[in-house]
Amino acid sequence: MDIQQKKKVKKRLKSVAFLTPSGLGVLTFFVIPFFVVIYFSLLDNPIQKNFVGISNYGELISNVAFQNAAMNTLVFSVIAVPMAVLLSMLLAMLLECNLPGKSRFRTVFLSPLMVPVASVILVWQVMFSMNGALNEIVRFWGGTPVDWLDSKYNQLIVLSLFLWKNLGYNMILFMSGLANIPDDLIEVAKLEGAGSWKIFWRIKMRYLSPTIFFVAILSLINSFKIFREVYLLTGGYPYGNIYYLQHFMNNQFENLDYQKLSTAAVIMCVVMIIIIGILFLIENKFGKEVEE
Amino acid sequence: MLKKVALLLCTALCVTSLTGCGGSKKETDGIKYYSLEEINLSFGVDEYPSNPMLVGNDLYYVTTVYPDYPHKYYDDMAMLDQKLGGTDSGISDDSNIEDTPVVTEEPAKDDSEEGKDKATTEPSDDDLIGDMDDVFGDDKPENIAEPAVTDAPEGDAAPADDAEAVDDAVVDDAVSDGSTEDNAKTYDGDPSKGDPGINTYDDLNKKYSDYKTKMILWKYNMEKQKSDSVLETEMENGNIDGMNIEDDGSITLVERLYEYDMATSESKTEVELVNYGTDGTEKSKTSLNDQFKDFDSDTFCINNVIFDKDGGMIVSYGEKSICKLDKNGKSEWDITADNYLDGIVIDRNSDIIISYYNDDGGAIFAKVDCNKKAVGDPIKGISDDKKSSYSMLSGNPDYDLLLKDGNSLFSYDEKTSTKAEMLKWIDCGLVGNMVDKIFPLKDGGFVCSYSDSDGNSKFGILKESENQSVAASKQVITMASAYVDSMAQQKIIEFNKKSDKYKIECKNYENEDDPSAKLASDIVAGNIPDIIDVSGVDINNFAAKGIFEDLSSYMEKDDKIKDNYFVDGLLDATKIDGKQYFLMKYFNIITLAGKASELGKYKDGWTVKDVIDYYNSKPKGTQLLEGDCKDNVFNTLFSNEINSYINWETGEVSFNGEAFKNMLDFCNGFPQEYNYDDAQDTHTLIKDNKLLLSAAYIGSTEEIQVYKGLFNNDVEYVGYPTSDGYGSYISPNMSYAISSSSKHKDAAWEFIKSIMTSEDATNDHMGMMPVSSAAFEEMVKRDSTKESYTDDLGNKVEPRTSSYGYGDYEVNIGPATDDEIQTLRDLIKKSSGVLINSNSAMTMITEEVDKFFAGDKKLEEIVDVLQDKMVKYVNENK
Repeated sequence: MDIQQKKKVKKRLKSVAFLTPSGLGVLTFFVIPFFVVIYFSLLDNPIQKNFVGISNYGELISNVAFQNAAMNTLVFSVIAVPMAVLLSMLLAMLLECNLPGKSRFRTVFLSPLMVPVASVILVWQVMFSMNGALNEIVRFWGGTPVDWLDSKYNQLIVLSLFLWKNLGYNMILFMSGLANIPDDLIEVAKLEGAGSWKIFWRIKMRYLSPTIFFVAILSLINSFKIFREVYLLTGGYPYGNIYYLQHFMNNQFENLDYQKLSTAAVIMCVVMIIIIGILFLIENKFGKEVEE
Repeated sequence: MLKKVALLLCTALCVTSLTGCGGSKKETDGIKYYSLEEINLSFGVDEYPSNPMLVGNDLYYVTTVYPDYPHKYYDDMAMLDQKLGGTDSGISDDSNIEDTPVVTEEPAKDDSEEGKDKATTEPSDDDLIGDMDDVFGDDKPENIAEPAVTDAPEGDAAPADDAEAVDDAVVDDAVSDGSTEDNAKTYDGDPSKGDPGINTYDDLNKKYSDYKTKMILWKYNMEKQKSDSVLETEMENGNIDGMNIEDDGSITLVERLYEYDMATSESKTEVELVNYGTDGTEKSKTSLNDQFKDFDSDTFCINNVIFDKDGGMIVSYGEKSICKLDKNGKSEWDITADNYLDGIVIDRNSDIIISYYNDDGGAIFAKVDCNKKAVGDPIKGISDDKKSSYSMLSGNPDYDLLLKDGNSLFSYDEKTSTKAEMLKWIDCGLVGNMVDKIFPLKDGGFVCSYSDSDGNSKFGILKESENQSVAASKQVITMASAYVDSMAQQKIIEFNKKSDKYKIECKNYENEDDPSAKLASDIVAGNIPDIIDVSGVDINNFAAKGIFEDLSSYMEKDDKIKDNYFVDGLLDATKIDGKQYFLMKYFNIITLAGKASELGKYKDGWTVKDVIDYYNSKPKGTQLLEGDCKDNVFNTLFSNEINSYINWETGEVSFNGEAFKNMLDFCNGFPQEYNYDDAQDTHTLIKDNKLLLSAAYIGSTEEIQVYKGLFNNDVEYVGYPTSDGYGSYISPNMSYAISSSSKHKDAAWEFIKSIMTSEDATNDHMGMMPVSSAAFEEMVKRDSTKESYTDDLGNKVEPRTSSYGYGDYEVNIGPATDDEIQTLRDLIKKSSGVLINSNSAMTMITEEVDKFFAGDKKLEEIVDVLQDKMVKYVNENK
């Protein structure tokens, strides 16, 4: 082995040594559990551990509660993710204009990121519980109090909570994306007579496409994570359409039904891979155009 | 260079992370096996040895010897009770629990007490429990140990020494009664033979003032294996709270004497520091009353007294106070802890350590800073457990601290702030909760004081087993339980002693916030116990998930535990989907009782609608149940009826149907909270037709007689309302299942079998019935006999005579009639299942329904929400 090769091997060994700790962490906390989940989804129960193939998948897909939870999760994501993307982009563009008190607005929109979940829940409970602030107003005006969290309006409350929590961060990402658009390109477009609308669609949107893609994925992930707030607000069995896939999985955990839990997790993972894959394809298409 | 250091660090990190789990020192690494050798001391039934103390090879302890009153005393007592408006000693009410001395049986003789007969007049715990049984119908807390009742050898009675001092008339009376001839038996006293000149308890006490209680200090030499009396002192109504033996053999006692004036209900306490010479003569006596802050003669109590090496005393008294007294009894400091005190010891470094309870009931340990006169910060490593149940033990020359809980003995190392498990009580053949004090010996063993399975106080030596590897080589069967009671621990000890191959180890979940959830997570993590105590476990859910083994096949193979081993109808009631997932040792029946004349047509069961119609037919103001309120009525009507609103096959639920709405409307008509201030007793309410139903807990024919009395011989057990069959349920006790994944199923079965078939299975237990058909028949025979007989175990059985009552109401409990026995049999046979533990569905429903009862929400809103939530719940689980 010549010196060059020795150096190469030494370098590789060093790289491996540096990567091993984080690799082990990823392996222990992500990769192995993922395969354990797949393994559990193919068994009859965690005690007897008889292999049952994909029968758990068949049973789960025909389970009404799972269908209901999946549909609710899908509907929420379909509504919440585009709203989170569009509204944050809109806010970012607004703040890009020379508005008075611009930095204060930015701070206000970012503040939800700093508030711990438990405090957020407390505030929202104070607002929307049976004896909460909103019902006090309703009573003041002679109306009948509503248990908002156990009513058909609860979806709206959850949507508001989601947007309140996520718009700020998304907005910052968009502001950063907007700042990266070359000024000279916009100036040229203006000189050539392009209107604001044209500049927005033809230039800004093209340059923002990677950001949109990233914000969309982030919002999608966060839309799944809204379970945490909903669970803390309404428990394991919320009323109406805010019963999500994570509710289903969490309840299965408490009921010791690890097969349904694992199977649902695998299905959810597959769906997520498909959705993110589609977003990648779209982003690739737009991203290439920008590069070209 | 920097790169090399970083590389080295990374490598070290990898190695550490890879080996970390196995390389760390386990808390159980130093565990050893000990064998228990009982110290052969005999105590009388009421001679509970106290204040054990090890000095070199000498074990000091104190026994209390109560005076041997003649029968005349009990006659006088019974007469006085009657005179003062009480009941005779066979009938109890709240007032005479404390006031009426009850005769207990003759204590067994001690060598040193040869020729003396002893009968106690002190109301011991046993007596109190007995009295409470009368009041509450045997429904006493499970964790109260039953002190033993040991018969003294017959014909061993002789006139007591003390009796010589009594006036002749009393002695004559006693002899003429022949009372000394059967002193070994319980004597309740005959009020008609009482002295009419006695009008107050003071008169009684004066007449028998020559009968004194004695405290005897013994010294047991462990080499000579001999016990000698060191000190004998008369102490009427007193305790020895602290004891110190000086190097020269002189003795210092902290004595607490109290007087109780029955007429005025006032008490007086005197705390004294008494020094005795080596020959047992009193040298000095100092009152300590003035040394305690806010001393209240009525309520003062001392919890612990320990002596330091200079002869000074650290005393914990009252609820939160600790003080230091010098050797002459003069106070040096007095401080108050933040919370209720538990124990107090001096550690190896001569620091004072106290333990007090935290808000969760666990113990916090802290040093007392004598200079600052304050309690220090919690000691790390042992005060961290949220619900730790450790208690400190005195005598620790080799360890910073010794700690014990119900499972193990631990040593605590202050330097490393860690505790190490030294031994498991079960491995030593000891029930952890029954171990009192423990003293380390120089050879590595321990001396301990404990109570045996019969409640007798014992001393023993724990010696390290010679061959540790043999003791450790047994295959371990784990038993998971939310609470391993003393009886279960005793059974484990017996099994472990008998088995050469296996030993059972307890996995106790009692300190967990949610034992069932913790057990579930352990099961899924692969830490599956071999045996599961199913009390508190969601049996149906665990069974549905395949966690339990069907025991039917084991019963088929077994030569003893077969279907016909059990009381008729019992197994059918405890099967789930036709499978026998668990077996129990004891059970009782939970049902509803009402008037037969009105409810006779519902003797085979009734529905919620029947209950509503029945209640509505009664005048306004009639109570449906004791403690009538919305929640109570709802739980009674609904808790066992949840499945009638659910179709588990199709997933349909009908919580928005008229039946559920009507029930909620009906329950909402009751008060929000029951007003206990205006409450009348059950019997009066039933008699006046103001109460319709009573929740009945049937554990023997005794309860059948009680309910007959309550309903004036017009009782029908209608059960809880149910749309399907009859609503009486089995409430199991000591119930065990075997894990379907256990590798030692046969051994686990042998353990369960040993519990089911042990000798004590023939006895009823805490007001519960045995599951064994033979034991049940024996119980029935015992309850129904009208003549004395000797049972198969050689115990003499007397016809049952007791009573149940309160206030002016009293039911005589006598031998059970054929009808009563048949009623009990029918109840068991008709029982429709095991009482279901509250599950998440029930919790969810109750939470919603409470909003309606509180007036926060309308009925329609509630049923709409419940329907929606229950659809999800059912579809998840169907």
